Amino acid sequence: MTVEGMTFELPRGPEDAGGSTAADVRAACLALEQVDERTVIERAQTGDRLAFEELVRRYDRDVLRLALNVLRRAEDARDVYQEAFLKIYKNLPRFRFECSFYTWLYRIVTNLCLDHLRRRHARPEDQAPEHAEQAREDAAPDFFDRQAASHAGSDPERHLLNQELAGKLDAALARLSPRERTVFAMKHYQGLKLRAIGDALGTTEETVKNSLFRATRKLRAQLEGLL
Amino acid sequence: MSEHERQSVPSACPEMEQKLLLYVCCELGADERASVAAHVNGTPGQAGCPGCAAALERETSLQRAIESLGAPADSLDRSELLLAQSRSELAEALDDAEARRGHGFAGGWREFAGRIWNFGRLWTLHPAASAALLLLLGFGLGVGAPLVYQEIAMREPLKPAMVVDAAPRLTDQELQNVGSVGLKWEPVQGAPDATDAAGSTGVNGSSEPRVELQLFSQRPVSIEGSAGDAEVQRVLTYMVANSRRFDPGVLLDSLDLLRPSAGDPNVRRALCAAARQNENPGVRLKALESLRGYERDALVRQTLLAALRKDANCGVRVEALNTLVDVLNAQADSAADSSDVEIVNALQESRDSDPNQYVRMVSATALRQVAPEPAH
Repeated sequence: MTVEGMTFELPRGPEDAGGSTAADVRAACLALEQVDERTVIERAQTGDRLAFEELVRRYDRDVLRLALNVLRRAEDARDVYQEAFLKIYKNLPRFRFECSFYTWLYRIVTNLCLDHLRRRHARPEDQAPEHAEQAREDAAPDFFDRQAASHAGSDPERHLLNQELAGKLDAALARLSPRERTVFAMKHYQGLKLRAIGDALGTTEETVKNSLFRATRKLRAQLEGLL
Repeated sequence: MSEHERQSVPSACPEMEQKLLLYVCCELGADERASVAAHVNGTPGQAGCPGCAAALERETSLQRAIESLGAPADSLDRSELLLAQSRSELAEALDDAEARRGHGFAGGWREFAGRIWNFGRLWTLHPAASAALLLLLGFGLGVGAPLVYQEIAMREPLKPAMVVDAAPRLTDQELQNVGSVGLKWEPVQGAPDATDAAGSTGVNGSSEPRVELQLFSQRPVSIEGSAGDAEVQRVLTYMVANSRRFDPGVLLDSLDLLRPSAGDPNVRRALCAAARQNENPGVRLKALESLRGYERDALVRQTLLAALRKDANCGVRVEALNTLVDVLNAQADSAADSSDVEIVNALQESRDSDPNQYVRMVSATALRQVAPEPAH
């Protein structure tokens, strides 16, 4: 296979990878990194484990980030990460390139996130509190970060105000419906366009607009006085 | 912002609210952005909208605040430790999935069982939903199952435990044990009245109507055949002879079917028995009608005379009277015999004592014709 003038020899399948040395596998992984997405997906569809791991490596940071931003709880995000990739592993042979792999992946992840949020809404008493606020307090984990935070130029009053705002925002987000919350996170934390969010959620751009508008109105009402 | 300040801020135009949000989120096209900006800031010839300007300011400050707080993912996994953990766990899960896939058939069954188990668990976690589902299931089965059963039963008529052709002969004991009888028959084409049934050609080409008899006893039996089949006729004759035990509707059909066979002495005996004994006047009347043409038979004539003298129903008496008068008229030219004398006596009794005026009048007329009174 030739990519930008370079020739790569891909392993023919998982049995090839299993029967070769670690150096061979590493070389195969490096070769896969250079291969275009469609080829990697097609190889993964044939059961090539290395190709599938390459796909995971390409997208898993985004997947975890999306899950963290929507769910704001590390354990849940980790569950969604694993469920999503296992689902993709099982269903990849049925992927027909009718949409981009990225859209398909996001659709799976957002659906799993929505399921988690709905379960949380249905049984709030079984849920541990969200850790975003705590994590924000611990956001400067080492000495140098703490020094930077207490720098003479920093504004302690502003810091306190931000903490209060963050707490209120967490509380306000917890009150949003699962769909509103997902749309909000995808827009503000993932930076996705509304059309892309609609694709991922399997709905129209107009519906997403309405969800975002409702979410923003509710947040503004909750944060009134702090802004 | 103080309470007073907040109250004094004008509100945004309702149609602009969503557009302002989309403006701040950079989700508007160039034209729409320009239009929103013109509305808020104004154009050289037109002042801006202060309400929308204030709303845009609020929207911008909210977006800035959200941005300043940063994404939760930044704080929750700053060191990417969670990502590393997740990758490691996924690798293990993939190894398990591959191992299961490698087990082939057994692995497939395990996965299937796991899915069922998970489905069960899902419902145990939702007691209200599972209760509602069970309730619906019970209601559906309670209401739907009888309807479905009825539908099937209507499409496919109830089949007896045993079907016999007309050929095998039922024992007399079996006939005596019959509790009730169901009778279905197809009238022959072109014969709306069963009177003509036997003489015409049937729908299926046969000259006699098809009859299906269902005898309900300890051993349900179905008999199918034409009205002239020996076994069908035997059962019909038995029913008419023992007419008190059977439903009048079935008896009336049986009498229709037996009418062409009234030449058979056994059938006539059964018809006479029905005319004398059955409690239903319709059955008695039809039995007498079926005996027409056989008045020369002594038993038939005795039955007609008994009906004229004793039957409680005037319709039955009129039928007997008409038949007997026909007999007298038919024999007017021949020498009178003892039976004619008996008929004349019966007519005289009717003329003198029948409670029905019509019967008395017809009897008197008939007597005048056959035995004119001497002039005074």
